Amino acid sequence: MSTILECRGLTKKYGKKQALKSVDLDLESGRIIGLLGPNGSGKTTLIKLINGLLSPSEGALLIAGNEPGLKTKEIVSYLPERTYLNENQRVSDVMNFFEDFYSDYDRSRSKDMLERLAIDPTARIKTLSKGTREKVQLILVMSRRAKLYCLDEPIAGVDPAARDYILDTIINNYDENATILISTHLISDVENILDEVIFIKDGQIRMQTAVDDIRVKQGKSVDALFREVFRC
Amino acid sequence: MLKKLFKYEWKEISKSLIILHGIVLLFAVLTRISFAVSGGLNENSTIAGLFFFLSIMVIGTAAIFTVVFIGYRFYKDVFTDQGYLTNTLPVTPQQIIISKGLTGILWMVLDIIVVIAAIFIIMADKETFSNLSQLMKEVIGYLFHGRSLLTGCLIVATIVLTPFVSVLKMYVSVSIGSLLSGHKLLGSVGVYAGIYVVEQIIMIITIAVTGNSFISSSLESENAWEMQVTGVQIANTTMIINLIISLIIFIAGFFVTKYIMTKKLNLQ
Repeated sequence: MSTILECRGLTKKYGKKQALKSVDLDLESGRIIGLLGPNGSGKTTLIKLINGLLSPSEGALLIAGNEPGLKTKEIVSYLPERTYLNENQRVSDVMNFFEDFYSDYDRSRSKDMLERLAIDPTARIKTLSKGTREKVQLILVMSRRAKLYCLDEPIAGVDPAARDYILDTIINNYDENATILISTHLISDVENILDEVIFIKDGQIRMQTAVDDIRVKQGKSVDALFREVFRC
Repeated sequence: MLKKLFKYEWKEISKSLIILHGIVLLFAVLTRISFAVSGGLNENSTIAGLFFFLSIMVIGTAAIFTVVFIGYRFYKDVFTDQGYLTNTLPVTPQQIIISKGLTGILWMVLDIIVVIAAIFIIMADKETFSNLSQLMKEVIGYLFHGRSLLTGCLIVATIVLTPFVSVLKMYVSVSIGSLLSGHKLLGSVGVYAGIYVVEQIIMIITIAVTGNSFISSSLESENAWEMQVTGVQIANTTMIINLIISLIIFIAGFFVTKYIMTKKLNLQ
């Protein structure tokens, strides 16, 4: 297994507020990793830094040995916590867009998933419900054969049935050499698909461990451990 | 990738601008027809007058909207929610600036062409065309000959550079405005106004200083020819200073915008 992500002393400040405090982190390839923490713990900041949407105040961040930039954007597939689709476009227009820009985009995957969810590719984005837009976005992101997937709160805004579909989509499209980093505070919904968890609080990594270790050695579920670590 | 970015930006920006400029031409044609029916603008031709007024309004709106829309497209695509896609594409910030900038410049040129065409549709007849071509010949003959050659070249350089500078001025204003934590659009307008004010102050100082020195030296001769030469010298110096300021804004605008997109992106 190789290291897909390395952070050394990674710090991000917004004015006087420190969103990330000297984070050291290594993520191995071929894992599904939960980035778990309460609201405002620094999950989104870390994911934005990985995607080059923010610049570190201090420290270093490397993806497959490269700083965030052109090379890393080719191998990272990012699902932000908001909709970035152009509302005036049709679903098929966005598929064309992905096909044009991402060499690892597999159109047939998108077509299959859209068909299964009965989403019309000719529909305009603005005519779709919020939940359907989120599904379209997830389908596009998971249709790439990326090395690292960063999914920021992929299940926060959808109903439980859609949550199951989204998690199935993630599992079914998971390439064993790829790494999936899922940020969420809805632990119980995701814990069955995770290989590893990272607990983050107040911009600091509190724990990074394999899910099996939590279950076997500590005899707890991830959700129970999370509640213990983050007890108010 | 630059070609692909240009293709998508052109498609996106042109949707609204083609419709708007189509309306400009439609109003020009309607005005011309109403002129033909009523025999031109006179006190009995209310409809022709109304169409003429509306055409002027539509032309003005199109010109202002085109410029504002070019700046807004950059803001929306790079610094709002859509920026989450734009800034994670496997392209460089300079490719984004160049592709969007080129479409903006092309639309500024197209806007000018459509506005001129609309004015011709409304006003022009055979006599206008022959007078205009005569005037153009005289102006070109005067400007690109002997002592005025430099003035001619400076005018052409200013005309060519203007759309490039206008676009980069908007992009850098939007980029600096986006550094604020709130009221980013308002901040962008403030930065744009600030750049404009600084430009104008430099120009006024330049005109005052060069004008004063040229006039005081030529007043001693009281010769009409030398007075004319002085006028040309003032115009040339002013245009040279203006070109230098424009080039600085263009180059600094590009690099500051690129720096902000690379190092100071602040998507919230």
